[in-house]
Amino acid sequence: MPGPEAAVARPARRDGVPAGRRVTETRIEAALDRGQVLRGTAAIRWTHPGRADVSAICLELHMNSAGGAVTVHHLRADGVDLPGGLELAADASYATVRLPTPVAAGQTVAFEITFTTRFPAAVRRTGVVGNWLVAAQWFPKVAVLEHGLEGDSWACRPSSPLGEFYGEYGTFDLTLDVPADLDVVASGVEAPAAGAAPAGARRWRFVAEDVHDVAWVAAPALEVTRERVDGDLELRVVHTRAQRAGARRHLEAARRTVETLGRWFGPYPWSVLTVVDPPPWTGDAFRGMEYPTLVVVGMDSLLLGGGVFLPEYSTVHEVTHQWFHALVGTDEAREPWLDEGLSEYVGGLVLDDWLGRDRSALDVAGLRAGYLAVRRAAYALEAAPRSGLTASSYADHDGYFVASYVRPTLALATLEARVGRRKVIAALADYVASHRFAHASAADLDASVERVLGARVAADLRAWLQTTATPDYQLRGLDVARMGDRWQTTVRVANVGGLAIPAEVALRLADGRERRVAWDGDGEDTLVLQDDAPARGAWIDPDGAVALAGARGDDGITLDRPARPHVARAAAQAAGWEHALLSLVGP
Amino acid sequence: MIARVLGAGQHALGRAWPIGAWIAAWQLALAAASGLLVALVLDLRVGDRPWLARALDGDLPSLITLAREPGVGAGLALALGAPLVVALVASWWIGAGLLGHLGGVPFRAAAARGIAPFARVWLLALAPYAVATLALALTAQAVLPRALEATNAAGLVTPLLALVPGVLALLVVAGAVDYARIVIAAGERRAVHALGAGFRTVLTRPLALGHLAVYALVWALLALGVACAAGLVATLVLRQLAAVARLALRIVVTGGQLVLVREVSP
Repeated sequence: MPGPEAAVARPARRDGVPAGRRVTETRIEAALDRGQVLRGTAAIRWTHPGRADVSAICLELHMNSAGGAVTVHHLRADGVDLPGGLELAADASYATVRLPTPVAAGQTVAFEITFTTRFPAAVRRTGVVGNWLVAAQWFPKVAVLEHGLEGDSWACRPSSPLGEFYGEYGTFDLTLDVPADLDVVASGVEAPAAGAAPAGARRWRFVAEDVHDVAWVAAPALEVTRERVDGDLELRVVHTRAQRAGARRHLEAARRTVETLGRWFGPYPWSVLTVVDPPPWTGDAFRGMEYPTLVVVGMDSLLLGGGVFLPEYSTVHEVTHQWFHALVGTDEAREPWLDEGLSEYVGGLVLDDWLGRDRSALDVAGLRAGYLAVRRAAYALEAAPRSGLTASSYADHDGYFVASYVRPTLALATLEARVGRRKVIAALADYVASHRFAHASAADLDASVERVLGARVAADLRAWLQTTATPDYQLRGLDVARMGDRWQTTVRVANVGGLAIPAEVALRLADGRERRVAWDGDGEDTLVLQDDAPARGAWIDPDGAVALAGARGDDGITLDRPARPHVARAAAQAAGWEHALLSLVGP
Repeated sequence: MIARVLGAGQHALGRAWPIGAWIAAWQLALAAASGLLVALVLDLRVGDRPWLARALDGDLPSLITLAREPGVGAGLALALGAPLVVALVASWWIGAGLLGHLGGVPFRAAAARGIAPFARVWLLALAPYAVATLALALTAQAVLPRALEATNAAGLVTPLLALVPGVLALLVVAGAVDYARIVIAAGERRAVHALGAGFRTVLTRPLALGHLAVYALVWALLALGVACAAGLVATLVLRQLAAVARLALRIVVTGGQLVLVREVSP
């Protein structure tokens, strides 16, 4: 791939995108040696965004709890040395820095930090696997100063293996000297680098604006597959030579996501989106992570083939984070469900529109499944803890995943079935528009839902997210009786789950028509319908609109056997496969 | 030697094709019975459920619902497993009869005499089969992640090559059982001796193993062809043709194996 000498100055944001609020201005110059140790200096200008004076700041050092180490050797504030001014937290993942003088709201402090970062063997999306390095959470970073009802407070807490990150918006200017045999890609745009690198190294420079984090990747012989969208947005997939076929899939997924979300939530604001596709032999070390303007994806596999849409899912989900984390900056450690749940739900809509609602996850060898259906299956198979907890509250990844990704997705899909997709998207668009280049919380999402969809809908969504209960519908009886010249159908229904959500009951009539009856989905009920034709079957929630509903085995009855042609076909197929097996045990 | 083996196979097919036709009909009947049992299980257990059609159309969540219904999994396992057990037991009788027929002994007499020792050989072979299967499974477990990581054909070669020893071990056991049966058909009543002789034949005569490997390869290619066929009718027709072809091939291989055993016998 072309080196930094080929870089030309270009804007980091797209035409017409106004600058966001910039609390930090960070300039880093660093050099990576072959021992995966980075030595550098960071010049950070921090403008106090709060209200009250602060006498200390919080510096995030997450690398210290990710198996590696970031060591601050020297720290100055406004030209004043702060010897011994760093008070490390117990796990060393952050430090409190006492300032020589209190800083007033709106005042700017210039920090100069000399630091060394030792990258670990990657386990938590940062570090080294083979000759690949992904550098995330790699420099001392000023934490977010939040302003609540009780005043300003630092969002500083020990990092959790499950939680991701939170950052303050600003600009970044990176100059990296990296061994000459490695290519580098990073958040932001590549820019011309000043000066020359030492012998054996190449100098790279990247500039990012209105972002809350920067990550970079160094690896040999990187290839770039790129596409220009709307004239001023460059989408690029960074991959190895062996992954060219996969790169095209990721590129298409990225383009479709950017186009679709651009229509729904406003255009992607930066001028470059880099999708890094590490080689599959790096395993789970890097893949599936979002940073502003750069995402790391994966799941390429020749054997899984084109009908298993894991690469598409990986890219769509991570690119969706560009709206639900990069553009609206939420705290992934405190409210992990907020960005993960929204990205999972919205990403599912993108996949459904693109690939088809009944096959957006899988369409292979006669088996097919939609994205939402797979999430429903995942929810049914995993005992789910409550959504909305902090990342460190979850005991394991499976519980974290189901509570933070799946349950919010099913809750939003249930909401979508009630009010319509257009309105759900409108509520999310309100949320994005209200918090562009700013921080947001679950309360902000709640406010947008209430503003667009009303207080009652917002209360329901809140309730669905704050419980582990699900509806469990049962169709307990279907009786048909002649009433004069008409037929009366009596359906006994029940919800034995702990969550009441209204559902439709579909009645299939003998003359082929279908009639639907509304049911409040609460407790037990008897529904009566009179019609010219008798009912031959009844099914609660036949469209699966209540995505939160649990087991579906006993939610319908038919009095005849409408599936017999399907049974006959399945039996014929089974006989065919049995025939093949018989030749294995045959004489 | 290869020409003689091939010639013997051709001759065997010429002599035993009516038996082959009966075997084909028998297998077809068993498969049909299995299909009927599958239909009965589905119809009786969940035939009144509205989601059944979706499940049988390949909708994964509905399939999961189907699999979780009480009695369905066990019923389907029985519907598919019972005919296989019946076929296995019958294969001892049929196999002994076929070998007898090719050796000039009346089918029924050879079958009646051979069924018990054939069963004992099968039971004895379970242990080496288990070892070979375990070896293959462990290798597959180790290389499957690497195979899944492959992003192009070249990346698949190494993991697939790692499976070769396990497949070869299975082939050796299968070949040993085949040759043990021939030894029994020639008069040996002791299953342990017969299986020992079978292993000696396979392990000392590369042609014996190669001959079986070609059969296994053609068998696998036929299976792959059927698996790739599109459409229910095409698949059903192809399956019948493939089953007949496999059966004919089996008789040809058996004829060749008879010649190979004669070559190594004192």
